[in-house]
Amino acid sequence: MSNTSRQARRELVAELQKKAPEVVPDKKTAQELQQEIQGPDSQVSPENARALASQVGNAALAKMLRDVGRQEGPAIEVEQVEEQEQEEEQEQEEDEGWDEGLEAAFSSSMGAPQSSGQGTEAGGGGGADFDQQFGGDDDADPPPVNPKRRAFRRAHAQTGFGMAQDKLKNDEEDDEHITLDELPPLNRPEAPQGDERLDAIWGWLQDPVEHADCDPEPEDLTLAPEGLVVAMELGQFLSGAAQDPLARALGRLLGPSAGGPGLAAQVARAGALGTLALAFEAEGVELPAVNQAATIALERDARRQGRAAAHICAQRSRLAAHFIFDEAVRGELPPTPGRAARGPAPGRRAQGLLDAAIDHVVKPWPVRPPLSVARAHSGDLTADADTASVDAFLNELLGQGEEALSHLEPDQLQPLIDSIETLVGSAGRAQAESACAAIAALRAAGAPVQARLRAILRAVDEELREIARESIRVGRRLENLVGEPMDEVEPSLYDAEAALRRWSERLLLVRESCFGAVGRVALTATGGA
Amino acid sequence: MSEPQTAAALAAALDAQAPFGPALAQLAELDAALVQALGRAPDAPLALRALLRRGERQLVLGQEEAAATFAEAARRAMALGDAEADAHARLWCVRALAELGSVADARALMERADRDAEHFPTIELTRGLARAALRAEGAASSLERALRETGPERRRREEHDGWLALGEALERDARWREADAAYARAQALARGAPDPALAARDALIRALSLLRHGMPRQAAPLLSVVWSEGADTTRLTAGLLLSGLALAEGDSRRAGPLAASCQALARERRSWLAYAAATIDLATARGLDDPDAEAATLREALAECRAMGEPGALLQSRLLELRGQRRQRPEEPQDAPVTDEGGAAVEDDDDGVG
Repeated sequence: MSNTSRQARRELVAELQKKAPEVVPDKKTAQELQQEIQGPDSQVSPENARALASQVGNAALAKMLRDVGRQEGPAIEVEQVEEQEQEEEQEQEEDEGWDEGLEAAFSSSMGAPQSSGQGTEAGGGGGADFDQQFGGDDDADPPPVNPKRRAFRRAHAQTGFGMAQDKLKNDEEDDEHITLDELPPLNRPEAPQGDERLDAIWGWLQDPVEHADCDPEPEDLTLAPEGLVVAMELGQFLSGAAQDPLARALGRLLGPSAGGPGLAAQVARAGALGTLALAFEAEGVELPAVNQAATIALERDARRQGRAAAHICAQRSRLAAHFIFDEAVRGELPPTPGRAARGPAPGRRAQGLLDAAIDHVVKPWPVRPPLSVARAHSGDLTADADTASVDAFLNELLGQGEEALSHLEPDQLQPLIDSIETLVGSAGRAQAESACAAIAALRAAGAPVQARLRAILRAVDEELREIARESIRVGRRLENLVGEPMDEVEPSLYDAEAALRRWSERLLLVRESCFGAVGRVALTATGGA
Repeated sequence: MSEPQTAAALAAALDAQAPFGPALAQLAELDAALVQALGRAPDAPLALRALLRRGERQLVLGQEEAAATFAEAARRAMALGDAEADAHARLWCVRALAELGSVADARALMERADRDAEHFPTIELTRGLARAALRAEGAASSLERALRETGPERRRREEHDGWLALGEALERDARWREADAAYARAQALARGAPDPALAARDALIRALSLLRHGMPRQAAPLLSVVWSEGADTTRLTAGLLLSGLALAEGDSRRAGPLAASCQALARERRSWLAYAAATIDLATARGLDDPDAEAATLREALAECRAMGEPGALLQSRLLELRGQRRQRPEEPQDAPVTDEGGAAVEDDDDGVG
């Protein structure tokens, strides 16, 4: 298991368990150390890491290090406090628990209006409004590839061996670290050229220690190395979403392959083939869109972090898409100084690929279409509407008289009530899914788009609440009809079914539009350069 | 020659060539000439044929206007009362929308188009391709039915795409041997067009499928064809796979030159992960004959790529692995002592990385 995965897992577990930080006296205060670690010239040395870990706890330290060194520098080993299997088991249990707890929280929060959060950006309107409000200027020049991200990664990667710890060291050797011969000098990075512009997977493979299997421990062999996992993830995305047949074919192959010995060779080949697959796709789709879509698709943690943040927001009774987003990215990136310039809206093919990337990361749940009211009484009060109508049809064929339904009975409404509950729950779940999409887009694009993403989420949240409120109103109107003659309530029943179908379709449209809008934000951001 | 005949002759010339690579430019010129001829002497059925051919050419080139072209063709077919042409144009439109990113729009159009096409067996191939583009049920069976017989010359490109789509659909159904046969048919059509670049891509798709199913020996000759005839991106892909296969068999004489060529190609493209992969292969190949040469090759490449602004993390990883392997082999001559930051020698031990 990679240090990145371990760190992310520990962070999430600690958030849920709300571990108290360990307080151990040290020469520097935690704040001073934190500033040192997160400063512009940070040298994340093992000594600083150990000192801070003793003060704020491993989880918080892991988060800080992740913020500083994510995808860029070498991973710093943080002392493991749990067995790997116990971690996985615990997380699995918590995954199941989160969904059940969140379902109830979604349903209960959707009816109440939320207080307005920060910002006064315009929101509301239909799904198409996200486009108009946040789309780019069609007359502007195409956005340049943001050189900042690669430059930062390259500067950070200069540290090379000197800062890498041997992952097999035992505790007695903590004070030693070994350096090799000096690395050749790294030239000042230029603006990306050629295939350098396809750096979606390159960014994940910059830790020399992580991809060297010098002496793997037995338990490490039970899991695929992180570099290969990233390549396989990219392959999974491309094999389903790429529009070029060769890109899809190459995507299906990504993973371990025949070659020379060692993990580095495997990772290099998988990474190279992944980049070439992106190059094939970029022959038909704009290259920045291909790279951004792949970058989004590799943000595997976005979904988990969004759900964890949703759980925290639910506990605080502040369950809204923009609040979930705020919680998930809190402290992660510096505040946006101002609006970044925007590039033109992507073409249809590019938009399709971006949408597929968001779907790949978020894995949205299906929205079930609403059921119908049972029109015939089957004699079995627990039968669903479909079974009841089939029974009625068979009774008619067999000449068995059905029980006359003169008045609307409560059990007839049950399928519709269930559908309303499901729809409200789906609207709540869509809050978290929208936030997850925004988290992935933010990570792919960089800090300057935070305000834009948040504004989209506020608008989406208002739409979702309206869907939930209107669905609940339909249910309340129906409940008032119980006991009324069937002939009189029939039109109302049809109206209610039609209304629920409309709201269900509207939910799908809002979610689709949200994903499309956040994908475009990720693509058109220029990073404020 | 009278104008209508000229338009008819131009339309016939359009039908006589399939839109493979080398013919695309000529087809564009014919299309432009036909537009002028029809401007002088309008002929609705000829105009409809021209629209369909233009849409196909735009689809091959990946131009998003293809969907609009087919939509216009469907409108004109409906105005002419030509139900078959109408269904045909709508199926093309579905395929164009699906392949150019608007899957939702394509699905919305497909239901009626698919239903109407049932009455016209001659457009079964277009129907199969539309279904394949949407990964819809029945794509494989539609394509198998449609591809049983070879059609006229103008249908060659569609047949090529059909065999390719059939191969992909069969792979999804785990019928990979049949998939290989389908890819081979596509490759043969491209070679016969002749479109060597497309044939090389088809060969690479076929090789990737064989590698996925554990048949590297059958894949190697195809990869060699791609290496010889393909464009840069396909050559680099094939070269990396070939050098890996050669190394897996311990054939350093074959792997070394391949890896060196891939290294040069990758450097030219500034494709640094490919550069790392090729360099590691080259180093491994050299190391099979001379153990010291492996690390030297890696160091030389590391200096080269860092001079161009690339940190070379994976080259560093491989150097770490080599150092770790040397420390685990006590019969090897002692390496230079490893020093810590202060310059003092560090005690050797069984753990860890040098």
